[in-house]
Amino acid sequence: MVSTFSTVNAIAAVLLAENSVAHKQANGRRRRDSPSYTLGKPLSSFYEGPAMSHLSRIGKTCHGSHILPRVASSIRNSRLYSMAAVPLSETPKREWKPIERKQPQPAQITRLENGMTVASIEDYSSTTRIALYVNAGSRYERFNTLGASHVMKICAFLANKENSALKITREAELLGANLQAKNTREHLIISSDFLRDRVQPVLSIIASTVKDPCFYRWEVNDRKDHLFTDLAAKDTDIHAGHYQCDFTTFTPNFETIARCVRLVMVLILQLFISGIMEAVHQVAYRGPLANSIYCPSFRANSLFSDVLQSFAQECFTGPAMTLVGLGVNHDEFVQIASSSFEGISAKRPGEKQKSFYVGGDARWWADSPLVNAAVVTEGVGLEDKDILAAGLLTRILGGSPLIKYGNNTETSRLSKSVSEATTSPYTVSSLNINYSDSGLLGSYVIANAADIDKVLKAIVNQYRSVAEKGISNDELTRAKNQLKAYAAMSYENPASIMQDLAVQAGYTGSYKSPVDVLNEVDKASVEDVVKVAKRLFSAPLTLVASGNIEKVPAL
Amino acid sequence: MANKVVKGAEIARQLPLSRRIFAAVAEWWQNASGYRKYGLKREDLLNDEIPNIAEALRRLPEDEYMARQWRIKRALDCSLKNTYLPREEWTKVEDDKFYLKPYLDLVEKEKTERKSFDNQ
Repeated sequence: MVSTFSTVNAIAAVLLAENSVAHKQANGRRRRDSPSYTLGKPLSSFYEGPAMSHLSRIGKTCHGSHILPRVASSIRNSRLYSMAAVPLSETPKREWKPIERKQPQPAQITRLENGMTVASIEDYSSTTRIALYVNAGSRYERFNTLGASHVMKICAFLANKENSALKITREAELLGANLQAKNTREHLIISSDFLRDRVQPVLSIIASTVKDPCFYRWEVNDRKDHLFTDLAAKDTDIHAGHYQCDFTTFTPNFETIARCVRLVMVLILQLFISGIMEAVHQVAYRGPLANSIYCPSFRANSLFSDVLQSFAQECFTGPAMTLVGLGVNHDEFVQIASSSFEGISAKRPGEKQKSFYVGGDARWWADSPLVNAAVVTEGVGLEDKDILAAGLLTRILGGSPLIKYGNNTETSRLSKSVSEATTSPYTVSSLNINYSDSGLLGSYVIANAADIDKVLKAIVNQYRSVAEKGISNDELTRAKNQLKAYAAMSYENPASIMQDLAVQAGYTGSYKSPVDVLNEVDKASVEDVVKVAKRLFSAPLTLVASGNIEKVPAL
Repeated sequence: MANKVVKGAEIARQLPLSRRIFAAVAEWWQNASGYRKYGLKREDLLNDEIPNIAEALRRLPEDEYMARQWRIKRALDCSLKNTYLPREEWTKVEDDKFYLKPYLDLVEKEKTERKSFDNQ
């Protein structure tokens, strides 16, 4: 279908060129009648004259078949506006000027009267991105509101007292803005990207969704399908089984095509990881961080508007919100925000419930010859002073390959030790997750079930050797370079700048710029990293495994 | 209660005469139309094949929807038997409320809104 269309396009382009020449040379009268190009005029109107004869000539001489005339008739009957809009006269001369780029302004942070934090960076881009971070993630759920944060994400743009769901959608479409809702363990995030001059209307839409959400029973019920889709996607065993079929039949000999397998493994990793990570949190923590970011299935049918309403009333307060903007004038942004978010209660949220890391073990069977496992310990929270040392420790343990199809045994301690422990394909990558008061640091591994005992022992031995035997200066330099490159790269991405700004402004009320971070990375010493490794790996480990768990060892 | 009745009477006395007469006639007409004798409420008579009303009915809480269905079945039964309900089961004036109206209003509002967006 696509190829047919592109053929048609190519032919039509040739024809148009031919046509314009024909117009210039012979068909002056005709030219006066029709403008040099016409938008919205069916293409067929251009194909009455010499072009048609040209087409039939191609049909006869080049191909000798009747296919082309048929294509020509389909062009004549179709309405290919974009092609019709190609100027038939000479192309306009353009002068290309280099775009003047202004230096981005530093971040500015203001606290509104109702307690809301407004932070923005003016980077003079032509689009504006705004995001509202509300402290309404799954860690704020209690027994009776369990799953509310997930449902809230799905129902974020339903009717509220100001706008109906239809109005929100249509206005966003008319403004050319996109609206997104995400939920994490900490935040419910409502974000939008749009053109610079439309801050006021978009912000008023976003404000209305958190001001007085109605959560009409019928609307919430109609959205339940989305909830079930999410839950099904989380159900990793199904996915594993599905992908496993392709995997085993397609690769009879593991070793010969290990490189292909690694690619497939990345796929599996993405599907598995949500199920494993949910279990890791459940096992590792006592307290609200153990809550799943997914709505529990026993609540999926009983979460009604009153529950959502009470969760919203509890969480949607000024001090719990952080509004960040990228590409806006700060003063203007603050002014618009304070008028749009007027009327949101300034009630301070209650004392944040603490989570405690306990560690432990969970494993379950899944239909797979592989084992997916995570071995983690308590990491550092966002307000921990060792956060950069922990980042360096993660890099020293080693992440996923930095080069496509690379084996990463040189720069990654984990990869190296696992490759010594097993001959079959594997993938291993360290992970470092930071929450406001705690975190997880460790690794995620997929390996063949026959060798999993050796693989897991190798990983745990690596943890111990970093803590006991220390690290070399070369390793630290490499880790610093990797971390700095990662940080600098992520600051190229507006989405990660937004997240960084929101998290920093929301928790500390200040913003540490990328340059400061890079400088601080440089200051870290071998002792800092070893000290943090000793501290972290002295806590009990958490092991979660799924797949063929026959040989998964006890911790 | 007595206090309320006195108050109600007070308000009724303050209403213009024409409206009082009209209310009385309306009351008589509603009784005379006979649906109360079947134990029905006024909005039970609405045709649920009309799209707006079907949508409003979909939005009714489960129990109210079931109660409506039950009243209609009971009325059908009476109608087949060519009888009315016993007098004590007739719908009382104070029970004959607009239970569907809020939902119907909302549906109509949404329809109008959609139309206005589609005509832009």
